[in-house]
Amino acid sequence: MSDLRTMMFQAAGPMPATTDVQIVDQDLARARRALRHRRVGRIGASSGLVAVAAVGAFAIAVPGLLPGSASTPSGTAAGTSSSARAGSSGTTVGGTALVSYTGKQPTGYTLDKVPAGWEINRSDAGALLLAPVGFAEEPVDGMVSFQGKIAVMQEGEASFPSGIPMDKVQVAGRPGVIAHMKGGGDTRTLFVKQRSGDYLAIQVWSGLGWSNDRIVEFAAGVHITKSATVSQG
Amino acid sequence: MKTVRDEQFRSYVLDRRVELVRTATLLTAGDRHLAEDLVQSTLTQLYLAWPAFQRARNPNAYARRALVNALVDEKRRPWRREHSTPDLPEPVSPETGSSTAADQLNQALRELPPRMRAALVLRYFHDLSVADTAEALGCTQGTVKSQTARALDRLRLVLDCTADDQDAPAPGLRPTSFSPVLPATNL
Repeated sequence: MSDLRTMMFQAAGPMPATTDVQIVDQDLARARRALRHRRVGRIGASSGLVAVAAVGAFAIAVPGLLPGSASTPSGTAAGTSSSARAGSSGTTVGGTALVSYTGKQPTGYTLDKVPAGWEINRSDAGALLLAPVGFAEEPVDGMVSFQGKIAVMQEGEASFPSGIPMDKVQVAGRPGVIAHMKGGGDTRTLFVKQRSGDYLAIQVWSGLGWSNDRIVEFAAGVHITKSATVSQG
Repeated sequence: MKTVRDEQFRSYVLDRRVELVRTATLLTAGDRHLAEDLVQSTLTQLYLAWPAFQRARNPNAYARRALVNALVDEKRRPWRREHSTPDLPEPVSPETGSSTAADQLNQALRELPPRMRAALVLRYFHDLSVADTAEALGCTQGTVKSQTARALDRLRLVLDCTADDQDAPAPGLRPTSFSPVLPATNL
């Protein structure tokens, strides 16, 4: 297996003789900011003032996070008004309503329902993204952000998280878990094991106001097709 | 105003950043964006804990552990962006170039859970002993041996490695047949 070591040295990428000083300065600036932030946080926590102020500001900026709210992230077409591709008959209990999906089916998956006022943002064999109608953004370095969206993917075993709170659920008779992701507000990801051993994974970004039941209801209407590929990592 | 901590940190980053990025690139199975994120996060953590880092018996092991923790932690966070999905690499043949082999290794590493991947990287990229790998991962030596053995089995399946089985080190033992032209690494 000496080949393995050679391959690792190649796969590890280039080995420049020096590190760009500008990058070092950026590392230092970032680290100093983090230290300042931590010190301010400690002072605030001891007085109790910062925590109260932060909660208030967050609730105003993201109304969908308030318990019982049916609001969606800013800029969305919320409520039961349908997008051009969505039908009606949704309910609003547990967050933004689900309505029948009547548009063209995406690559890799078929959908029975979508959130009212949402549409397919992007899809390929690796991922399906849903976002509020007219959600505008530019990819950065070829990457498309998942923030503010619902992401549907097929994930391998390696992607299954550990060490975070998870709720057991049943999706159309299959066992699954809803993982409460770390550092993402109320962002949750549903993992449902498939016959192949892979998982149907649906990430619901914070702000949609969905209950676990609503996530399960949406997931029950998501079907993987043969053209979907598995993401690993 | 620069402090002593700042100067020491700058010196450390200048000296070690390249190796951290290379290690992170393997830990993330070739995801260079994520690797850069992990290195930035790790360096910030080291700066915040600089006094403890300076006192560490083995600062390099401390940094490696911070990097692996950042990787494992990443799995608990929401996906924030979609990675473009490249086509699957062609199988490696003796005539193919090194970049294809590296791509296929990354594809194989991608199918391993993060800590199993880390065990492999520390053992065979950094040439750490089982004991040092266990220290870096915060687990027992037995766990390192079993994780490494399982990782090698899975890699063999994916890579269809052409190496002679006798050349493969028994799980838990230090590999002995390294190419002399390879540079020694010590994160």
